[in-house]
Amino acid sequence: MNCPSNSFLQRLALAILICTVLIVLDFSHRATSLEPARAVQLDIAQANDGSALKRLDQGHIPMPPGVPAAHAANLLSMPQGHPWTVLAFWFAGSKEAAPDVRIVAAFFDRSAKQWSGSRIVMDRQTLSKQLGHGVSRLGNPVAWRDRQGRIHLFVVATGMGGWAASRIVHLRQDGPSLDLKDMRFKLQRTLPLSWLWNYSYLVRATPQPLQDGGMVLPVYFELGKLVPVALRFDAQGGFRGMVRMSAKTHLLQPHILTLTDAHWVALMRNSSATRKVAATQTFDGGAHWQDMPDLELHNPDSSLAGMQLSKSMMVMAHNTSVHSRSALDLSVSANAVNWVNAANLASNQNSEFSYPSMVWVDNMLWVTYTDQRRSIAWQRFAVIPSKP
Amino acid sequence: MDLSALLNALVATDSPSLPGVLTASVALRCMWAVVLAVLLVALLKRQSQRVQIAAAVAVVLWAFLPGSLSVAYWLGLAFMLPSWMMVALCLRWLYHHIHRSNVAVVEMQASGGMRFAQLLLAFLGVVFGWLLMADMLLWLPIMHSVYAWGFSVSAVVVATLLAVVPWLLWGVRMLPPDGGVISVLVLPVLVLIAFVFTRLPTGNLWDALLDPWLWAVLHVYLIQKLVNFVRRKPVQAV
Repeated sequence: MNCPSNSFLQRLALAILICTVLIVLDFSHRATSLEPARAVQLDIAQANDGSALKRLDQGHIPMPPGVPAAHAANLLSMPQGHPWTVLAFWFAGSKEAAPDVRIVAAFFDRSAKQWSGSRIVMDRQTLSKQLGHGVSRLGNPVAWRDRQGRIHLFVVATGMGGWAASRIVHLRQDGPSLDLKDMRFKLQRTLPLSWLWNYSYLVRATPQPLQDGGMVLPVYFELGKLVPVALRFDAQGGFRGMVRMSAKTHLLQPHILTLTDAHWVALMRNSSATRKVAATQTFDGGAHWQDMPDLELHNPDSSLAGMQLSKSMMVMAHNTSVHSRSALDLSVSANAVNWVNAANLASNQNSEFSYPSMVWVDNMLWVTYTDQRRSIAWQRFAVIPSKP
Repeated sequence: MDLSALLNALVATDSPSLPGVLTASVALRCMWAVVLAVLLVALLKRQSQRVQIAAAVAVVLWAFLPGSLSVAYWLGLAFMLPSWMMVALCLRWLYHHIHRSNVAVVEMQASGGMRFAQLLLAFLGVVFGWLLMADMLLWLPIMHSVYAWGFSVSAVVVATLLAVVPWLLWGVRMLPPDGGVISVLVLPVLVLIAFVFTRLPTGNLWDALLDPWLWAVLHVYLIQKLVNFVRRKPVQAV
């Protein structure tokens, strides 16, 4: 910078050199751009238009001893041959947003055909130590397994100010342990999503796997206004950008259903007075989204979960009451717009059944939901094809 | 790579380069240590040099204490990391304080063009902060995120081109060889260099150039300048 000459041309040359070097260095730090996202789709043979759901089993996942509250479970399917069928993560403690809330996990043993005891896999203190700074509260774990079989865990970790000060922290399984007792998670990073000290993003829904080995993680912004956002990750779990999913500002907790590998519909919780399930869609694998009219289904400002089982069958778990979470049902659809009730998961006028999650594994649909904020209930269903 | 592929690569926001966990963890303590130490020295600037040094050392040690004993633990909980620009401004102030440069006098002696450019830089910081805030709070009628643009190469290109304009106009007058004042117009280039090499604080360029606290300080600075202009009092240095 202390150039001996003051001539403009020499300064111009130096400026061009500085710009070129900086830009080339910046380019060199970056991975190549990704190909357009294309979803991995299931194609279950017996899942077609008119198929029915038949309940096979149900129960409650064991809670840690002496822990009274549980919420927001997320299911992760395990591959064929793995000793576990599914792994469930949820948060548990004295109550939601309490400082003692921890992330808990349990697995369904494939051979024993029963749930393991639950174990704590992450707490505030361990996460704070890895971050180097404090964490006020934990919540909403969401899991994803990459192609190397490593489990990635995304959790909500708040700063100062309740859920409005939420950040999303990305962790990854440390070591290949198949023993839940030894399962450890190592910090990857706090996802950089917002200029205001990285507030106020939360995660809730299951990631949508992509054909390139990566995934799209639906998240949402919640600070006054509410907006759903899609985050893209590559096959190694590297964060690769964010895209807003809706122009509306009262929608949260998007859940992606795929009609084709590039045409997706996201169904969302609706906090407005319309009390209907909201929808947005993309035709280019999440690069651009357009709002759709609200569905006819009621949504009492509650979380839902859905997945595509075949090209003609999608299934969704959602609260069907207008004003409460006292009824939780499964519905099916061929197009993600028109839905038909298929099964009742739980209902009781004075109770709350909420925050469902679902996966398809071992030829069965597994569903979990929060049972009155005290435990995580689970059910599994077979899909019965319609008669020709 | 053909031209369209190059242009796509420039504007793409899907290839961010983010800092590593260890880098971010170390930087958390270092950056807050610098900011707090300089703030404390500024508050104690009328005290003896010995008191100022002791206070600065105490704050730095406080930042590097383990776990929740560290002030950086609590600042990180609330505010993550400060921007590189905040750190650079603090270090600039400290440099001049150590060399006892009379910033106010030398800035008065700077050309009118340079003084205007410094004011313009502060004004642009305020405006851009409002744009980022409006983007975050969803006040803008657009689907694209301004914050996400900070992950792209094009953001670095635009910022770099703007940052070298003062050098083109005023050259070495921004860096007087006699130990005088370093113009703030030098800082954007230094911040860009720091960002490109470290990707701190978050991998997003906007977080490196401006943080909410710095944005608030710029409001105070501009209001102070405006009040002084109206009253036609001598200019106070930042």
